[in-house]
Amino acid sequence: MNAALEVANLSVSFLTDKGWVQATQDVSFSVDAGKILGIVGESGSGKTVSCLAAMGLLERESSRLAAGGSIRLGGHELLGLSSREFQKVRGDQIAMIFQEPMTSLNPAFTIGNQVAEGLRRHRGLTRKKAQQRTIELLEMVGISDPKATVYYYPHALSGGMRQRAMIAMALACEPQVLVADEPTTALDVTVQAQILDLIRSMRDELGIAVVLITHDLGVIAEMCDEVAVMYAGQVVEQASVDELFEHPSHPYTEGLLASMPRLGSNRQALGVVPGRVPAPWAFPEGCRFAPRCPYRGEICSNPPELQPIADGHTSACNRVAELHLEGIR
Amino acid sequence: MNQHDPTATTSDTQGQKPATTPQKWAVWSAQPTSPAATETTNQTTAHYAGSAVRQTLRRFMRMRASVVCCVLLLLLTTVSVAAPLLATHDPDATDLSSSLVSPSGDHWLGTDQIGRDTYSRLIYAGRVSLLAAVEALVVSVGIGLPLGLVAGFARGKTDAIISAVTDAVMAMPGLLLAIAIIGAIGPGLTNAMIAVGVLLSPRFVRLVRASVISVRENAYIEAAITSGTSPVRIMGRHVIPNILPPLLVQAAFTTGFAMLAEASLSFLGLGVQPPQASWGSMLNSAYQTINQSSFQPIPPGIAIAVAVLAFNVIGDGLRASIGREEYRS
Amino acid sequence: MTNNTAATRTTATDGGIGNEAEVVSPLRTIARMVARRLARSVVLLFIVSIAAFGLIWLVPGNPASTLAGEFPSQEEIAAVESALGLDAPPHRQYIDWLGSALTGDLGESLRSGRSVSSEITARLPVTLSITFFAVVFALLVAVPVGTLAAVRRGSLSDRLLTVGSTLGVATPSFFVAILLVIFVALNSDFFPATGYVGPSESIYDWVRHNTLPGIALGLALAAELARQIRSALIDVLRSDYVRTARAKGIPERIVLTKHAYKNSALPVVTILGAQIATLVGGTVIIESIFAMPGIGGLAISSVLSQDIPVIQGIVLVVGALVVAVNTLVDISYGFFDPRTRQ
Repeated sequence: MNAALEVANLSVSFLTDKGWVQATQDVSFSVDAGKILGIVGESGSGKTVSCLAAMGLLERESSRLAAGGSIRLGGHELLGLSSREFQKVRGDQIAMIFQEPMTSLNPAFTIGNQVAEGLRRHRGLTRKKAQQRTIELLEMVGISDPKATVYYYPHALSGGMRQRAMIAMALACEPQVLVADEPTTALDVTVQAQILDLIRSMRDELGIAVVLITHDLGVIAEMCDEVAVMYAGQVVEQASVDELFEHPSHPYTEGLLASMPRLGSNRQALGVVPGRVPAPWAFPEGCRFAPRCPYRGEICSNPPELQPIADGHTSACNRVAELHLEGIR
Repeated sequence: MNQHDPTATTSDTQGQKPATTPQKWAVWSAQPTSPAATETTNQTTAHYAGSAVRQTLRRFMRMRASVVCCVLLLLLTTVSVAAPLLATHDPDATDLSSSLVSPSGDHWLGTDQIGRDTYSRLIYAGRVSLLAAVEALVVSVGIGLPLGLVAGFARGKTDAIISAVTDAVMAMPGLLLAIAIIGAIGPGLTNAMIAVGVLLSPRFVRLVRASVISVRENAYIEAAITSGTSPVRIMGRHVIPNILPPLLVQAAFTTGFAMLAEASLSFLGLGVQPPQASWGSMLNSAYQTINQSSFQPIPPGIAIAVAVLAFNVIGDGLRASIGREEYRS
Repeated sequence: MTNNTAATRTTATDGGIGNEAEVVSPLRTIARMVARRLARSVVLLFIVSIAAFGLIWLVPGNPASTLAGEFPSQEEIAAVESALGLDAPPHRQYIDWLGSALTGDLGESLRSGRSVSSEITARLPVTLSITFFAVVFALLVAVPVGTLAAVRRGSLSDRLLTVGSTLGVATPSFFVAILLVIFVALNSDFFPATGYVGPSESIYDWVRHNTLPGIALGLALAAELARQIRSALIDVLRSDYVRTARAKGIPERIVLTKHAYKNSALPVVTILGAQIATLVGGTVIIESIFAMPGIGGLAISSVLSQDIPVIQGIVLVVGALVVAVNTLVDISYGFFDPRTRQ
């Protein structure tokens, strides 16, 4: 069976004033129907860029994808589609929600108009039928009084409600894949859990595949089946959630785990990964994480390869065999 | 050793946990930051850094344009002051035998209907036009500055009345109102420029009032006011230095606008009175003979356009370099 | 846990956080906003009327003797005095003047003796026509040019716009008008250099006569608008909600015309509203160049003959028109940005 979304060897470059700069290198991940894949990493690690590329949302003039990459949606290759062909897929078979519900909805149009827009375009519904379906969708995502809400403008809704409306909009055409880019980061803590609940129940109900981008390992632990850890434009480790938390096999993953606050832990002892993700034009030679890595050795001047270390578990650390990294149980 | 032998790892971590966990976390918190890591920026900044540099470049380009315009204005002023030395003919000397001749070695820009030398008239008229614009500027600052200070300091009813009148004047067609005022006080260059100055003063009222209010909001000013520091002292030390930069920007635009207004009123015969000439009145008399010579309106028209352009570009440049207003890309 | 329970549970809590309770019926908010704008306009109109009436006090010396013409007799001065109601106390004069103005009576011209309101209504269509053509021309030029520059920012056409708009804003409308006369009207029979024909007589001739004046008057506005449209569109095209629209698979053309235009309309409409006054003022000089019998010509002739009642009437009528347009612009904000309705 084909994975719902399979991204392989995706290398994105941007045109900057420093010339063409490669932001991600050979990024590969896949997610099956009914599963949630988490992509985790600090800001600047290339999570969002990879997903925007998979959605065909990067500006064509100022970005390019290296040859040899592939984005397969339900087995169909998306790379190489014309903008027009990509538009037909986007919003229909693959949809995305964003970090900022406050600014991601157009302030000048009603919620109903914005949810119905995709339905009318992809499904060719009449105004009336689209409205009917919109009300059903709003009800499905847990908006109270959906009949009134279709006439509201975004400013009348709270952040949580707007993110629900965004989810309704994304699910309107029953896509195979939902990409959620930090969907709860901008929300109040109490609302965060509700939105995550909603995404999970939508997955259960509709059997869609979800790609969940986050920098929060707590969210990963709660939500995901599989995890890809990204650093400086590369996937550095990939495993199932349990495996990753118990047996992290990349020092960066261990660092992230160590910096994760959890029940009963001593706050004082909370670790941090020192420094920041380098900018794309300043990616180090060899292992890109080496300058921040407490375990770096001479071998780390060689670029590591992402290699299998156990069933369904890959890591890109040169010293993976020698290290005993600390997980969480 | 294979880290992923489940039994081995479990016993391993269990055995080590009390001792190693704090030590491991310490590894992550006590990491010296490598220079490579500190020097980096995150990817979002990297993505927009390009446009920032381009903006700076464009800002520089525009500044170069304003430098050119400064030189141009300096040249205009010099030519106006030195008009008697540079004129090839008496600007008012008529010669009916050479009426409306084309540009030649003797008459560089040709002659008007009654044979006056256009070039000589143009540079003498420049004096009138520049001086008139400055007159209007002085009037508008003279009215706007005190009224703005009073409105900003007094607040309450005084502020409300001044602001309402300011709004009303700004909502009216300036040229028509100027014409109406001239209708009451009578035509003539000085009267016209007083009218223009009065009508332009709301720009300064608004600017000064807003600055005073924003300065007042500083806690230390409020403290100074309550502790009895005289308003005059506060104005001199805090308000005036604060409003000087935006005042300068506004002055540049206002002078350009006043120049345009002078030209308009003189064109209509309500400003400068014969035999004196300004660029506006020259344009009008040239227009009367447009069927005989279509060249005559060109020199005064270009003179007005270039002078106004110069003031506007200088204003733009000042605003950009002062950076008070959000710089639009 | 089934989806349904999850949804119900979360709704209960989130509904409390959302402020749906604060949402009043849209019609009521709109009505309230319109009422507030109208109140503001009434205040503005009041000040305009005082300004218009106050012109009489700017006349140097004894207004009646100045206005009665050269070497007036005692009787002539008295006639002017009673015609203008100058024998009453000032506030009484103003109330009388405003009272009859509200009934459409703006008094009589000191020179022709004709009713000021009929003089103005006869000439108003000319001025409004020129202004209308100027706005149409400005929009026809500015929208495509500004859009092109925003979509292809940094390109040659973008840089041309920047230079062109700087030039356009600085060039006096009357110089543009003269250039149009020299290079277009004198060389072609289609666009006449002078005169006016009303739309009720012939739409065709109306367009012919108003096109050049409209271009001359509208060029500076076109330059300003194009610049404004460009920068507003650039902001909007970078926004999150435009990205959302693209993520929905909406074609770029519709993203631009639906999502981007409506949001960038606000600053553009603001400029348009602010420039209406300048535009109407500018018609004075354009009418004079193209010899069109509009308000401007009336204003100039009354100024030269110090015909105060006519000047007062013009200021009041034009002021009221401009305030009305600005009120409409204010109210249109509610259409373009629902947030301003509150």
